[in-house]
Amino acid sequence: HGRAWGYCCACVAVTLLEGGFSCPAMMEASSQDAAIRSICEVSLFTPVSIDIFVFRLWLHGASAQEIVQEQMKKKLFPQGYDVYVRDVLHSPNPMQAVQKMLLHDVKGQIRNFSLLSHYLSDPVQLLSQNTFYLPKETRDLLVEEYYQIDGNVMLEMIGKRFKSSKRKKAIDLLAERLHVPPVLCARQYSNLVVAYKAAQSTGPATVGSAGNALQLDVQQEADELVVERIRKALHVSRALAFDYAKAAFLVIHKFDVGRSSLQALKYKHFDAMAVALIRWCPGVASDPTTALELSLERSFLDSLKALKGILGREALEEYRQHVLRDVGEGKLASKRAKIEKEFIPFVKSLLSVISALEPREFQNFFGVVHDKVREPCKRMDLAKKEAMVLFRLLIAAFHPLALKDCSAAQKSAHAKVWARYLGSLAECLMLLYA
Amino acid sequence: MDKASDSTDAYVEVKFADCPAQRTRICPKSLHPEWNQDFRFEISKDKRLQDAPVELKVWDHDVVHDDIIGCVYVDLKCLLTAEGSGIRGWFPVYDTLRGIRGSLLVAVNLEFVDNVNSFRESSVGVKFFSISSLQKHKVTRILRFVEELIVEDDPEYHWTDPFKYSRSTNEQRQMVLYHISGKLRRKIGITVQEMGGNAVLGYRQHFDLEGEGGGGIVARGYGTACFFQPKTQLLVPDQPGAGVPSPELASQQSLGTPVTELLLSSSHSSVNVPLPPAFAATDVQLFTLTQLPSDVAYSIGGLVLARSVKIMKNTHRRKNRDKWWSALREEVKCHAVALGCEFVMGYTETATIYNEVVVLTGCGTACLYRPPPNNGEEVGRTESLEKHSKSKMKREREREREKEKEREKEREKEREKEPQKHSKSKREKKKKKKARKCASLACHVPYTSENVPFPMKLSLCRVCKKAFVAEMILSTTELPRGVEAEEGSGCLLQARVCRRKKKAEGEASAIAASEMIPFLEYDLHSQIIYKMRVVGANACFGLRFQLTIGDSLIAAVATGTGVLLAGLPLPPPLRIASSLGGDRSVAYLRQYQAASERREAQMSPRRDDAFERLARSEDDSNSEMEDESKLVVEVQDLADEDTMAALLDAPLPDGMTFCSTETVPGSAPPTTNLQMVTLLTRVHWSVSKERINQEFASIFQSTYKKAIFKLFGSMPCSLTCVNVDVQLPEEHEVQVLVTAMATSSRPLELPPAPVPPPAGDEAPAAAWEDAVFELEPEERPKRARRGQGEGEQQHIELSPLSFIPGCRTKRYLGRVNHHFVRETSARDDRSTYPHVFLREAMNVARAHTAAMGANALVGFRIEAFYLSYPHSKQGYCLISVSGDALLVRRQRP
Repeated sequence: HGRAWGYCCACVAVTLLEGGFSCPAMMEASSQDAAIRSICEVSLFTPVSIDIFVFRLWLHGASAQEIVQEQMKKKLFPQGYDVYVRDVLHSPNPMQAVQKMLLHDVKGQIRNFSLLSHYLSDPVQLLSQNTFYLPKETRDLLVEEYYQIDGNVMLEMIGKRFKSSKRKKAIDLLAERLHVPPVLCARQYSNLVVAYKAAQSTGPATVGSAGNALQLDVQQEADELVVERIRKALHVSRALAFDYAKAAFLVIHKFDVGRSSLQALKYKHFDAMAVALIRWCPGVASDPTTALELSLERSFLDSLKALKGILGREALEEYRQHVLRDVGEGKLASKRAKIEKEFIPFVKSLLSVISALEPREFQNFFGVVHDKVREPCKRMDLAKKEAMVLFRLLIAAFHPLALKDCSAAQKSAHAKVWARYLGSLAECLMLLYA
Repeated sequence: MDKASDSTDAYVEVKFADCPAQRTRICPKSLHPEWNQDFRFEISKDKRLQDAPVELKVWDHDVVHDDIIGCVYVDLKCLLTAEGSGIRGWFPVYDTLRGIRGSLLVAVNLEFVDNVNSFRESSVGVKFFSISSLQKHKVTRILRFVEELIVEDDPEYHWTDPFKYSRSTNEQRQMVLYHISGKLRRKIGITVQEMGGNAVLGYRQHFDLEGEGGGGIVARGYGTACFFQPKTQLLVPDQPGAGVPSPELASQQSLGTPVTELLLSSSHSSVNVPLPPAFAATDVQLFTLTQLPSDVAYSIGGLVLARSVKIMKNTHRRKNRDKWWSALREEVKCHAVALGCEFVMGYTETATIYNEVVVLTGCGTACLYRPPPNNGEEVGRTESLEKHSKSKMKREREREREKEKEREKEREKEREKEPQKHSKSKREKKKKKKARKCASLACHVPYTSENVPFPMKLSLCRVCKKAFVAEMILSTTELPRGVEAEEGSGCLLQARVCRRKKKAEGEASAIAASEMIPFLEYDLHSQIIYKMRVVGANACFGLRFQLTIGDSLIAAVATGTGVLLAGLPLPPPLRIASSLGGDRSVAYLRQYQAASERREAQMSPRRDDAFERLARSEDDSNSEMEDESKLVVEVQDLADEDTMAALLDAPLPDGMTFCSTETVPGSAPPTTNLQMVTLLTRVHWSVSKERINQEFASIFQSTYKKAIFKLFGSMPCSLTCVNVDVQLPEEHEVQVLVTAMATSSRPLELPPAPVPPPAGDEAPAAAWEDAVFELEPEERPKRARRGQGEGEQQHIELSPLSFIPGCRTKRYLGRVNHHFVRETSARDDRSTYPHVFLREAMNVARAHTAAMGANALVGFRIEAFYLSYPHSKQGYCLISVSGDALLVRRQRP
């Protein structure tokens, strides 16, 4: 909290200038009070009252002076205090007096926040601490604010690895580059680490461990949703916990987001792509918040690979016929010729993306999607909406395919896998269009 | 902590009294160690239980040498009173250099093995309260003043100190404080038990750090021994009354033996028989209570205050100090006798230390017990009073011989009485039974007309119009129950006087101080009187005095609550005449004129009161006092002007009131607590010659302004129990610590704080209990009290008041008293250290309160606060806090 303490150093020399008396003689007299120089001024109010506005600005690294300026702009001081200072205390410059009081108050709050941030960084401690009494609503609000994700910073964290010895320096450099306060970066980093650990905590669960009791224990834990685990670790709302789950997903798989082809994308795009990809994780039927862990479902990958074998040349030809027939009827009629020409290479490249889902390859996934899906679409001269329509057709046309050596049940299983795969892929493609 | 892995190899060392220390196993590489180990200590001497806390030291094991993480001190005294219970809870792990570093779940149980030693050295069963009135219990007997004094070497000034780590000295110092505070209570408890009491009310504890001059820590504890019964039992007895009228008996029960004896003798003695020699200074009782049970009727005689200046020497420390204090108490008692009073209420003892000079102050309010109307028991008191004043004179003459310094005290005592002299005169007295039923009985003068101790002006009580009252009342007590105050008249009055002092050493310094104090005292009193006139008050309650001496300054502050009592005459306006020319003086004169005219306009309709006129016309006996009603203050030099200019405080916004009493007199009782306010201001002050008092006042003004600003949004509200601690820690430095409680009489719209947390499904218990760096030596909680696993933090209300507004007391759980020594060199802002230190101290106090099963800490007081900055980047602080743990439940409206 280096910065947080830093704010306070400026506050030593506050002179007690305004006297608060009506007559001019008093005024003149009190201005001589420069003889009194403040060494320390502390006001403690228990239970503590927390100004969320100040807290928010402080989290974003604003200094006490900046916060006070903001408050003065928005007139965020006790209503009528300026009138009291002007009419009752007859201060010649009431606004200056208000500002002075605000500054003192904000400094006090910042000191409280610095103490609080220790507990906030590990919210389970918030309940056990006795330093501040916080009603539940205030506490939830504080935690929610504290754990807000800053997209720019988060984007920089994805795919990076900070060595513990150089972490502080790296974070400072990052902050400098992004023009944000280092505290913000450090906090985002540590928050992410907590979420990451919570999300990963099933790790050993999949590995068979010795001891029955332990096994059982682990099993129970494994059944818990990722979002729930994060929620418990951070004590944030469900929505925010899911945001952290997405961030953790991006971090766990160390996606390469720095490629030149992906330069235009913001964190929100990756965030949305993470939602699409989490659909491939175990436990997800339709709602991605029900993911049990953040690695891709093994059985899904296997069946995708099987699908790759099934879609041979003949099947592809038949697939093309089906799709083209549907294209003729719909909105894509104008692009029919191009689609007809590019269809088989396009589906083949779609299938080749499957190999990028392997753990070692997965980090380049976005790049692969860009090259193998976005580029063919460009060649087919498809607009964003048209591409969406094409993917819908692809999913719909899979059912009537007469696949060799496949029972009806197998076929419908393949169709499901194909739909799950193409659905998320389409979502990613849409975002790459941005 | 291991930096690389961010974890510890923690173990706990458990120490108690002189038993060998025991250890838990080491819990490797964890921030959530669990030990689940039990330790048993067997103590043969029960006094150890009271003297020593259980010390739990948390260590981080290391190959080279173990690092300390922090300490937890668990005070067992609360277990001694509760019946065989235990305490259990999360205690903050506190380190003197690094503050709070985690928490520890500890359960301590106490088991008495049945073999009670008849020569017990402990005082199990005596309860200590810092508050002076109990809600739950009925105090049936008030016994006597009890006190104890212990001198202990201060490890900070021990010759080995320079060779030691600062941490070990700090811990030692902390431990000494724990030990002596325990010892004090044990010794007082024994005395109380011997006299048949079971509680000490209004208990105060002071640590006088005598520094290098005296070389020790003097711990003083004093209070009022009482006997109380739970309310349920009280309903049964109390009306036997064979032959004696029952009200008499009731009163006998309500005040303890010495006073009762006196009353009995006086009521049974026939007319004209002088009182037995019982009524001597030795029989005057000193009570620390600021409020008596509602069935005790008494009259306030006047303020009594005695000071003495002493030089500390390193020999016979304890004996000397005991002698000094008992001489001072004698003095106070003599004053009370001079005022014709039987006991002193709201009695406090304070010591001011500057190098080797110490100024002792005893201060209280002399009162006379007033039994309900009966036969003429008051006749014949004249003789006894004369007798006593003679004996007093003799005693004083003896004391004159003792020491030169003591003479100062006498002079200063005269000063102290001066304001009363101004305001009283002789008067014929007719006894009226009716007057005894008057609601403002407490304001009636406790003398007959013949034995008025000083020339004073009396007038008829405006309520009952029968008895006589003095012109104004100064009192250290709360406003007595039932006394009417005019609505909206309660307000804070603070007189502050500061003077330059020559730098001197040793005896010269003592002489310098004793020469100045009387003048300071005089200024202080006249300032209070002036201020009362300015705000239109005729009484001042909850007065607290403080004197402080620094290198080049000497300052005194008196804080009280001005009230316009219905019974007392209306205060005359203050008139100031200035012989100085120029704009400056005119300016503040105009202000006074405006202020006093405003007052006058409010009061003038009432001033035409027939009694008022009657009272004045009868004043012919003392014609020189006549002009006093229009007190004219002459401003003759710049110093006068300075004092006068500092008289008017900045007006408070409408809807906010400050007062030094627990409730604001003349307004509705509070219904909710808002916030406890702790304000600390420390300034560097290059004193200017002409404006010393104005500048001094502005330090206070700027401190109060912060509270006004913060509470501005929650008006209407009042800041009650304002307590000021002024120190002159360094040359050119002034430190003001203000503690107060903000309350409101508006109904609370938020859910009340101390209610049991609502059930929720937020998170299972296990998740909460696994907090980072929380270390558990005992078994895992089935369901810890704290947190209760339901996502709701337990709120421990802190308050300097004796009650929580809107709540009923369910149980008294004992006294919480903690001492902290804290040193830091890590941070660079001087405001940050005390902020953090005070928060930590409150944190620990709260945690211990919660562990005792309580949800409120009342009578919360910062008993010692010494802050210093040895170097520019270093802060050192000694804090001692105390309070009474309560279990309260919110009342339904």
